[in-house]
Amino acid sequence: MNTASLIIAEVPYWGQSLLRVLGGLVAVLLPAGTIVYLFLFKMMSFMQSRLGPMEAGPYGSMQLFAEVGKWLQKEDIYPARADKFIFKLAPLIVLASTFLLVVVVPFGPDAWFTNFEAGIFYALAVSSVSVLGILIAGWSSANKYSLLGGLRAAGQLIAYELPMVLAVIGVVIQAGTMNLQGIVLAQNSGSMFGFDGLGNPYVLTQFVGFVIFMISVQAELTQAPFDMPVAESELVSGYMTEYSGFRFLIFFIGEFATAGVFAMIASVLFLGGWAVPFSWFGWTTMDSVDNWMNFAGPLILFTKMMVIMFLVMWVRFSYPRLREDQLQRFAWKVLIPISLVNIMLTAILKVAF
Amino acid sequence: MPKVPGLFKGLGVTLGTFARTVTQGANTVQYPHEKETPPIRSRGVIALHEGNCTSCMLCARSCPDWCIYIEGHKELAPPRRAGGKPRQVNMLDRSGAPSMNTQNQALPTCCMTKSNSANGWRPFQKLPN
Repeated sequence: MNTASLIIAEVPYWGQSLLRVLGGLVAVLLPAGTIVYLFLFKMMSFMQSRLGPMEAGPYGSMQLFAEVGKWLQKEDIYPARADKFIFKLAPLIVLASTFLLVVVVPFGPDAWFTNFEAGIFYALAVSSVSVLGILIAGWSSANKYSLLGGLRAAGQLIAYELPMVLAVIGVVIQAGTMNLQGIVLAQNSGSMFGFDGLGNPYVLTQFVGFVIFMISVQAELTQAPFDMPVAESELVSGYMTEYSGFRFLIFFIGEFATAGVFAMIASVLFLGGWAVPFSWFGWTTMDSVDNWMNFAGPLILFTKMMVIMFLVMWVRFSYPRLREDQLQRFAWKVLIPISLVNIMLTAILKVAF
Repeated sequence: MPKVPGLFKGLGVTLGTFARTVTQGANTVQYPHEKETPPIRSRGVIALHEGNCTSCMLCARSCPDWCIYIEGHKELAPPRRAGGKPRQVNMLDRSGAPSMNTQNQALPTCCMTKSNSANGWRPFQKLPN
């Protein structure tokens, strides 16, 4: 272990906890804000040949703060027949699952919140918690549109959880570990046919898995073309219909924060995470990585996350919404068989080489 | 699988629009800060500044559809300087035009202005000077 971990070790426990909370807030909210401004406001507008917000701040960069201010001023309304406690709890559950998810993302050789041995297993398990929040939001709203949206969300998230897990299994087989640091190490210290200048990013060797994972992420995040749960033309706004003001804001932040964290996990799994190929600097193991990677690592991960988010948002702004039965058919009849074949091939090749 | 080429084509459309907006600007106008220039061959509204009109008939002659008519007569106006001769001025009696498509040519006289509002046919409009 090097200096960064020694510095952390001298901080008292409450100080470490405080640092972790602050770090978690930054790691969740900063990507979310950047994604909303850069992609949702600007890229979407440019793809529709308009400029997007231009008034608040230079090039509308303060627009998100203006929106947050607007939402915070709004009255906190809940339906008369709503189950009030659960109604208020639902957005918090969705946001909590995001914060639980960011915990396992490694940002550098020593910059992580926790380093679970079965990190990716934990991430996939915790990401399903948001389904609970969405489901109870739909149920407790006492609104048929919300209920339909919540049920659609539940069906969709469960259907696409499976190909996502199966796509990750290919990576886990190839890396030989479920630890996210281990997966980063395996990619960046690996080599392709003896050439180690690029390491071995799994986006190349696990390309099928990458495509399936990205499609599933798109569905998990309920982004178009998989946004049936919030289909505004059929269900008003799905499970978010009855939410206003601060609680809607939490749903909104939760959506894009989860998108950011999922993009981070995707870049850890497939693009090599926080690291550059170790052969560039002559590193071989995790301990030999220089200390400055603890500071450069988050930036590298952020860049890779932005690339992934660009793909997600590009698809989102390009495609129309699928129908509910098309969605389910696509998951069960196309994605899951392909990912099973992918696992089989990966296992065979792993044994063969 | 037959749908896959179309999916990539769709991605290309949005990316193309994105690149065009970045390089050449958007198709929109930032309204309160800038105003749209009327397009070529726009069908504007013409207006008459009656006091400026000398009944020179240039507007009537330039109208491709012969839809403007001007009738005037000559009058004597009092001289500018004491002891001078009375001036001859042209006075407008009647005039009319529904609207005019001038093929974006400037109206030739001092008396007609072309309005930018392009909301179709309007009766001949008389404006104060």
